[in-house]
Amino acid sequence: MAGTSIIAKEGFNLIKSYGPKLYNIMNDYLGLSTYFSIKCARFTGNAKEYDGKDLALYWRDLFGDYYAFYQAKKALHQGDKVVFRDIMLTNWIPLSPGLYYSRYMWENSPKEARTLFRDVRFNEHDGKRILSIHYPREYEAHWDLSKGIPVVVNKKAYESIQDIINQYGAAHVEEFNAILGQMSDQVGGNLDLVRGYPNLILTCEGKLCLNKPGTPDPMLGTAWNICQTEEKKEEALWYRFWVGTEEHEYYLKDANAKLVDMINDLKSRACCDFDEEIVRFPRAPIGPNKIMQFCKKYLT
Amino acid sequence: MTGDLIGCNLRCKFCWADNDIRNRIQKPPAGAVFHSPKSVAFILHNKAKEKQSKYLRISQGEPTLSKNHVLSILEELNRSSKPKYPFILETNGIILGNDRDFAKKLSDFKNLHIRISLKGVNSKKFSYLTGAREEFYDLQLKAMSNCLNNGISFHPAIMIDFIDDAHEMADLKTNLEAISPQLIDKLEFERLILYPWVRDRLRKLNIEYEAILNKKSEGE
Repeated sequence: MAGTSIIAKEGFNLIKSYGPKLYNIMNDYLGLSTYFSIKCARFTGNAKEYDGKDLALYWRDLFGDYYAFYQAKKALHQGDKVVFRDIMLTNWIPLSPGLYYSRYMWENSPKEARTLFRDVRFNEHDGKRILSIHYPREYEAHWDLSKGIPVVVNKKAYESIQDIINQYGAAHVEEFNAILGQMSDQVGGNLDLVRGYPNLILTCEGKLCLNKPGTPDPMLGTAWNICQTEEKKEEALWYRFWVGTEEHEYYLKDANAKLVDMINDLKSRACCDFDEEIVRFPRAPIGPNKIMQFCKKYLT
Repeated sequence: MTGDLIGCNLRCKFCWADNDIRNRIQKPPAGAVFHSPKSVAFILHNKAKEKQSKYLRISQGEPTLSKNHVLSILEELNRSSKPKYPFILETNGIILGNDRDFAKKLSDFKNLHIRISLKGVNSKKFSYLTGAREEFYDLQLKAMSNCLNNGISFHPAIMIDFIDDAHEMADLKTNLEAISPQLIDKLEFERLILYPWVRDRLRKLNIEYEAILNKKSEGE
């Protein structure tokens, strides 16, 4: 996996000193870098619409044989156009998108899902931004950001929802068009699928169509960290925060404060930073910014 | 738009309703009042319009404990003016599984969708998580059969944090497939939410929630 090679070149000693568990977690965390090496595709195939109620349908069509329950036929291919209707967009994306719906999790252990599912957001990179698609479903009492579908959008598209995302943490979008692009070969397509990552990723070049801006539905995100105690033991911590509400910023600050409390209670120090947009743990040795600097150097 | 109710027939260790909400039947908590079905329907409908919500829902406790009340709310909502909001009935399915007639009555309401929250992947886990006897697990499965047989829109949900391994996943798959092969595609995964009272309850029950969520999952 791409992340592994980056670490081997630059940061292996850093990670090694935090123990194998942390290494495993960070390995997946670093998998995010793959999103920055996608080949944007042109529309060459079919168009498929997802009208709203079930995120699993998309994963089933995308994963095909790798879908969790072995019954699926692959229906999405590179160059296909995908239209989503009535969705929510956030810039919090799951670290292991699609893992819930991959055969890997069902054949191995759901325990893995618990560790890997965390949300993270990144700054703009080369005029592109990673967002996450969610369906507004109030009957899922606490709709989880970790189940989102990642999508890369251009600057223009992001600007059309930026104010709303800044205010609420989420934007309600009526119609959303994207093309499935192939991830770069250098990240290893097979590995991506095994770990629950899609090897095709959505890219949106146009503007987004907003629906009822200012009234997003509440969803739950996860603020997280890995800390190391004085006994050199690693602990994974998390605290959930609301997205898609007027009090989004308050909840995020609150989650951050709770993580600090937990880290202090354990007499430990933070190893990571979960948020690149706002540096929340400046003394953490590993953070999205640092990871992205490695990525820029070695992957682009 | 969500209305809260009190009282439940299970005592799930991970429940996000606090103990006061779960245990009360006779008296509402301070600051809350009981509402008639008409009043519930009126408030939900009007608030939904005001807030531009798309669904109506009753949450917290177990709504089917008061079958007639639920049916009356649905009737009142049916009578209400447009828009006709979809109504989400969140239930553990125990009552619904035990009462085929209730399912039949519910099938009259076309705007109804039922979310059946499974408490565990099998009867043993169900008993561990809820404190109820193992045999009652089957009622949750029966609830899904009753919905299916009566043409009621529904989907199952389960908390992934209490599924321990691939064998338990397989149990869940078998149980769902026995009812309908399509059910597994509709399965919703819930996550444990550590509200302060949930954290306290898990601590009191000697359940190391950090272990459930994190340490165990790192391949110890």
